[in-house]
Amino acid sequence: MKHFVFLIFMIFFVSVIFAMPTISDMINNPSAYDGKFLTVQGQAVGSVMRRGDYAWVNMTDGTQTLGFWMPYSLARQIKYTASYDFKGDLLTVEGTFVAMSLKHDGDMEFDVSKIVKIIPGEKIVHTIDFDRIIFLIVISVIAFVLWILKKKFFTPKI
Amino acid sequence: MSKKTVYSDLKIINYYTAKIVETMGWVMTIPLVTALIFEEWNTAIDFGIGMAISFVFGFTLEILCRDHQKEMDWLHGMFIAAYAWIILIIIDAIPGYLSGHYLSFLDAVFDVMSGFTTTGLVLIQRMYDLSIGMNMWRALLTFVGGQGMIVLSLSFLIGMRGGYMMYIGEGKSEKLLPSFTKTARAIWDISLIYLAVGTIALFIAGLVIGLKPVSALLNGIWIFMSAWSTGGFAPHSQNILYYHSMLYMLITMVIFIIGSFNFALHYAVMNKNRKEIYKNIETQSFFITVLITFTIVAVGLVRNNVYPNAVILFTKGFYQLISAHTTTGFMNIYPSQFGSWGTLAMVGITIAMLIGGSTSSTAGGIKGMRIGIIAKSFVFETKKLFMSSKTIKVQKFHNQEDIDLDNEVIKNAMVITMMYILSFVVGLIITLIYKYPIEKAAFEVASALGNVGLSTGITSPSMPDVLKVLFIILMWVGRLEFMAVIAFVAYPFMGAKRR
Repeated sequence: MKHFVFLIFMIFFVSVIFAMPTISDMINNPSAYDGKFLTVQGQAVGSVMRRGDYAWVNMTDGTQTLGFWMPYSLARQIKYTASYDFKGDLLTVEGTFVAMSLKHDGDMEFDVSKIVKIIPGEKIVHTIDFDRIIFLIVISVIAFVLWILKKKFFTPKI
Repeated sequence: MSKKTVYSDLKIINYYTAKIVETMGWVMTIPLVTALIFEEWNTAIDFGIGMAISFVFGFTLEILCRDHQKEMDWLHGMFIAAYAWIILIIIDAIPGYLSGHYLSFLDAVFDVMSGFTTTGLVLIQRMYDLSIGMNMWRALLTFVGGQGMIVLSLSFLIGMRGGYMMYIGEGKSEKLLPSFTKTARAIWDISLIYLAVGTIALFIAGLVIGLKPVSALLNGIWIFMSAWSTGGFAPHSQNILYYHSMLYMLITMVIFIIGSFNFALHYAVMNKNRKEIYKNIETQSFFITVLITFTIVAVGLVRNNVYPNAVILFTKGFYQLISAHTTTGFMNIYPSQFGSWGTLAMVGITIAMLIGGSTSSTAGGIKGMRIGIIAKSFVFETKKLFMSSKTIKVQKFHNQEDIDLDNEVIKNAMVITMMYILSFVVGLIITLIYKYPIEKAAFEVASALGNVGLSTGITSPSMPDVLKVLFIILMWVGRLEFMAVIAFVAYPFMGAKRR
């Protein structure tokens, strides 16, 4: 019974994953998805740019990035966007892909109607590479010694 | 070739190259300090290493070549311009490579060459988690590259002999002031004035479109540097599309059009000689070629029914055309969308990329001056067929002053133009070996050679290494306008025979 449930789960999981186009799929083949109601997943990047009651959120699938146009009330749910210091929230959204938006100067966009799921991002801890620090110290000392030598003994007389 | 001559040449070449490498080492303090301010410790370490390697390299060469001869000739200047660029792209790629955003060191070198030549083609990955310090460095690469690393070095190295030869070698020719050190400083003064004005404009626009103040300021600085230098680097992988704003797009367009004009024109306008704007052969040539190439692009887009209305056609088509013509490379469409543009529109953009901006500007391409000279001489030669010899007058063109359109001027313009076309054809043939469609290959080669940065998607980390090296060479020869590269390549065969 356990195996059967697992199998059903896997079939469901795989079918959901394969039915869900990636952001790159939509950008590379816009006519195939134009006007379709889809479920899409992506990581929020950069800034949430508020425009009145709506906002732009750029989302990436790791390869390409697309603008998602959504009510600001939805965008407010986003806590983290990807940057050097943070892993962005992973959003699953529903909405319509628009290959050429007439309301936004012909931009390709995804009009979000619902945020299905948010997996929160987190702060990225950058561990300092001590080998690099040692290398930096050694090479800085060499540069300093060379500078002294150059100034004291080898400055050309012009 | 006399060994003594070669030894003497190498000393003077390496001595001044060392000075240029050291100058760029000092430039790394800006991203280093930025990284420290934003507590990006690993980025700060990477730039510390980059600086230290620049200084070790520079000081060692200075010590080894301290007894160099004092007089520099044309060949030295030209050779240094080409050679210093090669050394710089290797040393200045170190911080980028250490950041972990490149698949290989070659990719990091590619991006530095792209930045210095103000091309804008990129192989960097995961731009969304790039540090602020690294973004600052990428903007600086285009800003310094646009003005010229040698121009920057000349600004500091007062009385540096042979500066003029290096200045010419780096693709600049105008002498704004009697001394070249003063000219180099004037170029920087002009750029810094625009930097202040442009950054303020983009900062305000950034606030209007919903960026937070710090982000609006940083994006303003970076986008200004890139636009003014006709560079095309942006802090986001979507390029200008990221901002989803017509206002932001229009401001960038104004900046990169101004940036594509000759520094001598800016200097004239700042000295209240505003007539120069419409009298100058390069501005005349620019407006005529924009009109012609945009007509080609628009006809192509209409024929293929790419955009549903004239406003969107203008927003996308004109922005991309101007971005191509000024050799900026900012994109408000995705690279894959060029696929729907059709051959005619792609030909229009490719021609615009090859024509490029003005001489002695931050732009690349054949340049408006040469196109203007060739067009004028063509019209004159045609007219001559129908005129009696008594009525023929000497033709002139205007660039700061009226200049005779003599055979020497025409020959120089033709030689550089032919070299561009030859390089384009060679680059296209090599790219076609890798089985890319011809219109995409032509587009990408023109983009690299003209230092533009628009892409149909060929330029990517997965492209063959041979093409990466080819594009690095195309960007290099396109930016230095051949003479310095010819001196660099021909020196081992002919260098010392001149004595």
